[in-house]
Amino acid sequence: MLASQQHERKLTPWERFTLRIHLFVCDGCRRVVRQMAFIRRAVKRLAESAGRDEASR
Amino acid sequence: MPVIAAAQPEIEQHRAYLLRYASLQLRDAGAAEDAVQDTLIAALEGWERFAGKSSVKTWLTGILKHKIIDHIRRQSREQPLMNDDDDRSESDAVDALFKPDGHWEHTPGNWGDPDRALDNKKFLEALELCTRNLPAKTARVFMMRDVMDMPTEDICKELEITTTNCWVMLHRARLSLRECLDIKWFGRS
Repeated sequence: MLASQQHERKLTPWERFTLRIHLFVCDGCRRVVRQMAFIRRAVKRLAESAGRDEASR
Repeated sequence: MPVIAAAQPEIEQHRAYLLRYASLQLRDAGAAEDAVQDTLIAALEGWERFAGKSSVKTWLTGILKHKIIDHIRRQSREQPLMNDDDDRSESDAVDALFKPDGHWEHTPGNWGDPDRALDNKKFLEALELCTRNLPAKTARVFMMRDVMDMPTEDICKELEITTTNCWVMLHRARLSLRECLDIKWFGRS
């Protein structure tokens, strides 16, 4: 949840600390943080994709 | 009106892109068509003021965002999206990702270098399918945030939801898209 919220607001120092500790021990969570950033890039690409399809036709 | 005649093809060529952008956001072909139509008209009217400060596409996208928000504003006044049922099934779906002790039910898989998938048409199709599986209101909040880059406060205000609710919806949207892609694309066995 904190990992998602860091996209929306500045976390407090304590929250940043607990998040870092948590990510340090949780391999799955580290992956998820990276994957969420990827999903963000991917939906942007999806929104743009029609323009390129047209251009390549 | 020679200026407008020259502007028309410049603007028209982006129609398909704009339509896609709007339908991802609005999930309603008619509403998307209207928003794009309004955008093209506004662009023709404003062409002389545009003066090439950004690319035509960026400028049109900016106008379209406003038209989409206008539509959402009108719609939330006339027939607000109700999602109580959605809400329940969705929080159940997210709960199912975790064991009672808070650990992952399936440890999230390694996606390797996922950015390679961005140029793959099939991947974008899978992603689109996953976004369509999101409940309407969740999808709307997610698209406003991650595609349109609106600040969370503005999204909450437009949709008349609390900031906390907004965060919860974004978090759920991202988790369920992640789950969906994990299964549909990154081949979790």
